[in-house]
Amino acid sequence: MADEGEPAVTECDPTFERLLDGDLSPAELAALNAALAADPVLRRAFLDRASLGVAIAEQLKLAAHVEPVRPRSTVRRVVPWVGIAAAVFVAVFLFLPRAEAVAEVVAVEGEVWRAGASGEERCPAGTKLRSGETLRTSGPTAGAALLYPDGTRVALGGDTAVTVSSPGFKLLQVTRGDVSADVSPQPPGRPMRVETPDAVVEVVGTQLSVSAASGGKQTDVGVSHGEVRVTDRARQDTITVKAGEAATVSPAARPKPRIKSVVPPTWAVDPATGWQTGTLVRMPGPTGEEITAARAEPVWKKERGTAFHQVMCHNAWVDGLFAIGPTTVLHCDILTEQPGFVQAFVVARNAVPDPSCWAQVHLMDGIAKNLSAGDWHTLHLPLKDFKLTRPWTPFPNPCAYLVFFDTQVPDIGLTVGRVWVTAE
Amino acid sequence: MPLDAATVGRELLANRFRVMAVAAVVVREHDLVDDVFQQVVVQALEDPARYADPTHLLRWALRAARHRAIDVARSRKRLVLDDSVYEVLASEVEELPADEQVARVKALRECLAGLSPEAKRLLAMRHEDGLACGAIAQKVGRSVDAVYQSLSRTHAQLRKCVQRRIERGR
Repeated sequence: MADEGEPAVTECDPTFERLLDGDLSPAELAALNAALAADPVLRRAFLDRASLGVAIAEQLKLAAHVEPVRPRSTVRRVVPWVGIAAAVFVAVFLFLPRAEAVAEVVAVEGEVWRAGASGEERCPAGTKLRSGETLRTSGPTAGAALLYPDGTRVALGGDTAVTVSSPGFKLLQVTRGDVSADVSPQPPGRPMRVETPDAVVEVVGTQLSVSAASGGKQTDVGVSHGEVRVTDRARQDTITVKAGEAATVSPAARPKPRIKSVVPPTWAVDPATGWQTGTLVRMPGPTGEEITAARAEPVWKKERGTAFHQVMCHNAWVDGLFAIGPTTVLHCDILTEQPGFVQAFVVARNAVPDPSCWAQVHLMDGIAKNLSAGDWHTLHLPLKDFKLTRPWTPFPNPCAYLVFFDTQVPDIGLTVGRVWVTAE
Repeated sequence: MPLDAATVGRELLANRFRVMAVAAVVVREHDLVDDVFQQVVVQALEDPARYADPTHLLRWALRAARHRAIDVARSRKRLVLDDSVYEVLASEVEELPADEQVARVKALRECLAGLSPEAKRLLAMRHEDGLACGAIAQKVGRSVDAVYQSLSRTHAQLRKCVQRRIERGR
């Protein structure tokens, strides 16, 4: 490090920021030169900071590239990208053999992005995906549908990322999220493969749904028609899952087929384990007794440059939470620390996952806007009063797989206690 | 065997973050870093056959990026470190892991989501708008030192967060 008497430079020291701003005195610059020349750890910290700066800028630019969140100088920002794009175009599109289109994006809802060699861009319906490209849906209510040339259809649910390729067979790599597929009969010896971080699913021709938890800790597979082979990557166990069955691949236990039960008309969240988003708190409930509740936590929405505060239950894409009927009512105990606006969402799919209409979103706005802050309120929200956010014909047998509560900025201290569903 | 243009383009794209990091050690503004990378790509594609292999190409690109970035900084009358220090830094960039790039970007995206709105705002002004800390301080009504400290803390926090996620994913 620096000699005795020279200013010491440490990893978190703002010296690097000051250097880049031209804000160092000659003496400080000399000390920094000496320290960097002598200390490989400091050099690595500087390099890490520089790499981080590049990556942050790219991420922020990417987020703002399609939907700018504030006015920006277009000349300085567009020209370098045009230049790089031109250079990349020369390299990638003129000299490299062009990859064949593997599948077409035939429908999109909400934020859907395609990532390939030239970066990530918004993906409209009609886009042809080439081998190696990734399709990503952003947000729990987003979705997309893919059509392969042989008629195989794949639907993506919200917050899902898949990469398509065709190394002699159809390969769909699901990094995270939910997909349903209706797979046309495949050539002998070349089944379609659906891969997640935990599992490999081989499909000869059938209808199935796959849900891969974020972070690769669990994969659920459900089969509606036909059968699939599911391999637990970690244990190298392979099982067959048939129509009407499901299986879970996780570190907890060896996978085995189970009969998919009929989705019930009622449901209640487990307050201690049922939430995937939300901070668990112990506090006095509506009756004064201490309860476990979930306080909304921020979920960053980069495309809007802001954060929502959200409480969301675990996703049940494969098994379903509850069947939606004409008399279904969602009940909840909620409290807000300040007056504000809360939305309730119920996301549903067809009882049999259908890749041509993968999900419908039931939304009820303003469920808390007229309620007194600081008090618990028990709300009874008939599903028939929710509005559908997608102008589709209602599914014949909708089945909810996700329930969440969202607030707008600022944080109003939304806390959710019991949530249950009845069919009265 | 000399490289062809396709390989040169592919290799430079694969090493984009490393080449840009060399420039980012010297200049603050991401647009200038972009410019440097762009110039390096264009120059490399002018005569791809001069590169014997990908290692040769990467070493040349790192050196070219360093020289161009220093030229940019000097043309703006910025203080720069000794060239020998930049040379050592550039040589050590080769040791940065290239195969974890995708995982790092993904981890960073997740870590950025966990920052406070104030931290994100500072990062956007610094890295997206390319502002000096003095200009940021004026905008947010804080002292320049406070901005330096906040940015340094946020960078350190992000670095640790990314590292943790990478290690967890291994």
